[in-house]
Amino acid sequence: MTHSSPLPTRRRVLHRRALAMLSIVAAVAAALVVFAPVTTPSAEAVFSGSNGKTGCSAVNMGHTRYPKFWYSGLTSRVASHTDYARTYIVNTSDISSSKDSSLDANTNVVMADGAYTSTCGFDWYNEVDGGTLALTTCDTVYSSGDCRQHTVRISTTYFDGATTTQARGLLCHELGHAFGLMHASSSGTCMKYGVTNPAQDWDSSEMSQINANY
Amino acid sequence: MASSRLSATKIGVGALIALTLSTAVATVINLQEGRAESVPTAVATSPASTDRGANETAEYAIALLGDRTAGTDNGAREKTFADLLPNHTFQVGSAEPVALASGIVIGTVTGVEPGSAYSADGGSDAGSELDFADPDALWREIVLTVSVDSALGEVSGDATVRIGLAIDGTADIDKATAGFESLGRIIAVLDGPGEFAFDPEVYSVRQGGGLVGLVAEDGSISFPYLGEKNAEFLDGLDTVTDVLTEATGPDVISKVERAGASPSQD
Repeated sequence: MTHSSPLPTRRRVLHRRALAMLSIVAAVAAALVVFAPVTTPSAEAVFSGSNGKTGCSAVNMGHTRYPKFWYSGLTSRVASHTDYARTYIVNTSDISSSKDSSLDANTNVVMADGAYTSTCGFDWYNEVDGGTLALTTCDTVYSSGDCRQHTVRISTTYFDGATTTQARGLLCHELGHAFGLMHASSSGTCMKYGVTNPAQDWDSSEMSQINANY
Repeated sequence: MASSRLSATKIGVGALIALTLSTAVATVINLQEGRAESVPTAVATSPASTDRGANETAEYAIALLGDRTAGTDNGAREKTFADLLPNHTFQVGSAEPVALASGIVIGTVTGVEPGSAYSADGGSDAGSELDFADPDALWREIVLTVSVDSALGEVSGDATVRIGLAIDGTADIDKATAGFESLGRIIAVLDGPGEFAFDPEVYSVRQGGGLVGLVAEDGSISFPYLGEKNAEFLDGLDTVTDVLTEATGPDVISKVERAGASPSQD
């Protein structure tokens, strides 16, 4: 069975060439969408990986997907918001955190709070100047480079007067650091730095990195 | 077959584009890794750091400044450099308006001295003081001596100003010392003296030591610590001349709410 074309032969050729060109343009456009760096943050920009770093400026991923948390004399408000962040953020990823029965070398995350003024030489929060609200340090590492124990410090000077949105966002931010998340430029994640009314969760690219690495 | 050839063409073009764009992404990644490890990024193309581009020693110190806030969250009151000038004051409630910074110094680093070192186990605040070179230090404090060419606020008229900086305990002390010595001309926003137990006359630097900026030969300013927020923070005060001119303008008093809770901070 044959079909007669309404187009003359030369026009059919041009038509096929036009279709082929459109296909190539479509392929290029698709490639741009898939590989465009603007829409897909690199893993390195989102996630620290295992880098062996310790200290005041270290963001280094944890060692286990079953991290144990020790609450070091936390105020009830910091403790309850830490519980919230673990339950509704951390434990919705492939990480399953729990509370430790004692503080020892196998504790993965030490949660601490206080009216900090000088830890790591930062200008900690006060009502006039603002300042550092919280800090996550990696204190010891395994030979593999994974962080063995993190300490998260929350400024009670800030936290006691923080709104629920601020409190949840801050815990989300610091626990993100404890699992290797870096600062983000997007306001769609709690990992954005220095935001008054932060997002309450990690974004999908951050969650993907967490799930791919734990 | 025609269809197969067309598909192959699509894949080939797609792969070519992918390869090209992957190269571009890799370049970005390398820059970001550079910032994390040893090389400044956001200021890497600024005039200030270009002057020091061949100086790996200075770059080590610049990277230390740039990495300071990696694991923190911050609610600093100031949103722009202008907020830190002596003629810009803030009033919380009915309290007296206060300037956020005690001064600003512009000058050349002429020396670096050791200060002290600290550990802070178990989430404590200041922790224990250690010998400066103790390998267990969580952070160390060093002192830069700056030969002043312009100054505002408390340090106005001083020929030299000594400023303290905290550096990470894992930083190489010798490289950091050499790096800060080779920074050349800097601009530093100062908090008052009295922060450092080892010498109460040493000034501390605003934002936990972060607001030490570089001054290029053309007078332009950049703060490595601020990364991609540098331009937003400077907000038009891009040169030393801009800063000094703004500081002689009319007084500005801002009424504010509790820091960190003000909607204007977003």
